[in-house]
Amino acid sequence: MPRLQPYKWITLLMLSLVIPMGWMGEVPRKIILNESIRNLYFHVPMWFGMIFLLAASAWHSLVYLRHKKLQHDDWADAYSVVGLLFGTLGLSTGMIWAQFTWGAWWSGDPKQNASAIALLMYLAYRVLRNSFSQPETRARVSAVYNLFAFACLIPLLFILPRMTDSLHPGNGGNPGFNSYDLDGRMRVVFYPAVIAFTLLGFWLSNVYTRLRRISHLLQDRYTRN
Amino acid sequence: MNTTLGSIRTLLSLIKFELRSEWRQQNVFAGIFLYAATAVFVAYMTFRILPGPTWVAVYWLIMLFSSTHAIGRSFGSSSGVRLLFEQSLAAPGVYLASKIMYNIFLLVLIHLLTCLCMLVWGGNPFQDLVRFSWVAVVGHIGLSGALTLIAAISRKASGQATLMVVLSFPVVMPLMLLLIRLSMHALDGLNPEAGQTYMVQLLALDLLILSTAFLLFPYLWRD
Repeated sequence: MPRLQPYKWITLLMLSLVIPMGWMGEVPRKIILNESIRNLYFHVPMWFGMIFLLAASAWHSLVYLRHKKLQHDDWADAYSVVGLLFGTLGLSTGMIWAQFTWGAWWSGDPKQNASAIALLMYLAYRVLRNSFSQPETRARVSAVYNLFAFACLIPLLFILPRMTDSLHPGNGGNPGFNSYDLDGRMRVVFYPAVIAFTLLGFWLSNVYTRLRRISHLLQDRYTRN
Repeated sequence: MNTTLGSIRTLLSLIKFELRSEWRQQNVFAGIFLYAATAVFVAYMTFRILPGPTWVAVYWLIMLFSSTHAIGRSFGSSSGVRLLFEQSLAAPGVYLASKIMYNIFLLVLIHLLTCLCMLVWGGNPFQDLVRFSWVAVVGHIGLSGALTLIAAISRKASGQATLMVVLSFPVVMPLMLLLIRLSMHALDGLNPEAGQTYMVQLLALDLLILSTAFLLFPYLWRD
């Protein structure tokens, strides 16, 4: 038996429940949506996960600016990478879904646009991180940008998409996922999916940070000899 | 009380100093304005007659590019010695305030020039030009705040010009969306009450940008 922290066991348990149930569980029959309604289990948790991960990244940047410990910069880095991964997955699952329900990969939907801008912000953060050679300066300056980007992300994701009508479920008179007859059958899979994928994101960040730490150590050893 | 007065005096003299040294290098000013004017002329040559929405789109594109260009050099132009001198004079907040206020002034100038050129060449599609100008000025406050902070960041990263663009465009996008929406209202001469929520959101976004900029700038202050 591998020794894992409790939250990792919870992740494994929930994912092994969510994935088969997501593909094979009972779902309401809806016109147009048909089986694509299952995207709720995979697309929506990606966004929840991304928000939590980016918030964690911003939090670690804040802590870095307070205490100037480089490990917080490593954490901020890891959370932003995994947040970016989740965002990309969220965008692509959304696009595939949109092609089969709205009829186009990209239709200028406010939520699509907003999430594309959000991804650009964090890609810019990656570019910024890579343009420093000194770890302390990199940590400090990119923490400032990370916090600024996060502050701009909040109006972008939560206020602006609500300004316009949209075909997106939950906007402009379209039923949100709460009213998709989100009967017990779907809830029972959806809520665990959100929790499980978010925890998976934190697990991935954990692995990423450890990998970074090992590469730092190796680099130190290599340069010293 | 005395310290408040003192910092206001420092603020004013910093702005005056900036203005005077920029004025001396007139090629810089001229360059920025020529940049805007040429861009407008290219747009005019492409479209000939600019229909309303295109006018707004072209205007904001030119504003976006020339303001990143103009503000991008707001920390880059000062040499290391001058930067050190200015930093020893003022607290970070005062220093940032002077930069932001100077940049607002610069953006308003670019705005006036761009508007003038576009009105001459592209015609006036606006039902309510005055409101458009107000919206633009309120937008310039936020734009200046965001771009000044990004300029300070990209200066720390050895001040590459591409980095400035890459970092600032996604960040100012929420602001741009609101500004374009409000400009469209002015274009159609809609009742001001129709755009009231957007105006409130624009002001709130300005406030958010400025407050985060002032909170974060001290960390970029000195090495």
